[in-house]
Amino acid sequence: MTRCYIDGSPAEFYRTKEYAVNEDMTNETVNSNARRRLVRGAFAAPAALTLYSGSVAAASVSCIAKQLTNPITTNGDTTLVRVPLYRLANGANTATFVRQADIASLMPPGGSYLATGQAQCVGITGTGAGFSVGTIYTSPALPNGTMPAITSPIQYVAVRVSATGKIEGVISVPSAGANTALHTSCWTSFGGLVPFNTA
Amino acid sequence: MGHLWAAFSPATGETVLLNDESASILEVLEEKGVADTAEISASLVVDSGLDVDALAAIVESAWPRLAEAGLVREQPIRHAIA
Repeated sequence: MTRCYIDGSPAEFYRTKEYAVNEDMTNETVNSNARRRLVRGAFAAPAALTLYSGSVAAASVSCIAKQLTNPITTNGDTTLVRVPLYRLANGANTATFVRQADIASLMPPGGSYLATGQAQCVGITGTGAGFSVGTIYTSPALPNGTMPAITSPIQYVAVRVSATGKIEGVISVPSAGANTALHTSCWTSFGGLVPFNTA
Repeated sequence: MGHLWAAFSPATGETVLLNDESASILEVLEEKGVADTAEISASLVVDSGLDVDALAAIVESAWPRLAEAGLVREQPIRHAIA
């Protein structure tokens, strides 16, 4: 036989009441007797229906509501993880990279993408300072030896990880409105100020 | 909405709507502090008009949902060693 007690304090419950729009409800706390309201001979199944906050629900489904009509997908995509971007700049010509060091720890055993020390160019402006999008480089640097530096403020891109742990590609958030799998409204799902693997 | 009860659970941070049956169970529990199914059922026999066994089955089935909603908590059975 189950033995219970009221959980939490204050253990109060109130009968709901419908109000007219112009009705004064400031002094109306209804706390009548539930037992008197029972219909004799018709004790129904006790019900407890949780009320959900509409605003919270709306925020939670915003990603769904705003998802793109034709997102890019690849077979086996299961996970999106974010990694910080690194930038090399030569005047107005810049190139941004993702580093193996940031991605390796995100991959399950058997996954593969970049080899140790490698970085992949995922975005350019101008001529790209000599780098091209999609190309994987080992220790990319400018002719003067400048190495990519982490973007400041930190920017991130999302990487798609397949079911086998293979990185399928990188999704650049600034171009999220241009038919990618990730919408900017969902970027907060990857939120935070610190990259995943700075520890 | 007019014939339901509203209860806020500090345990879950959620507000729950209850029908009269659930509210009456909590009402009895609130009075008694701690009670088992038999005690609750006995208290509701007169108001419900059901026999105590039928009522006990309904009350017993209500505990999981009320506990899930954060409104009641099951008291662990303590075994005494003679």
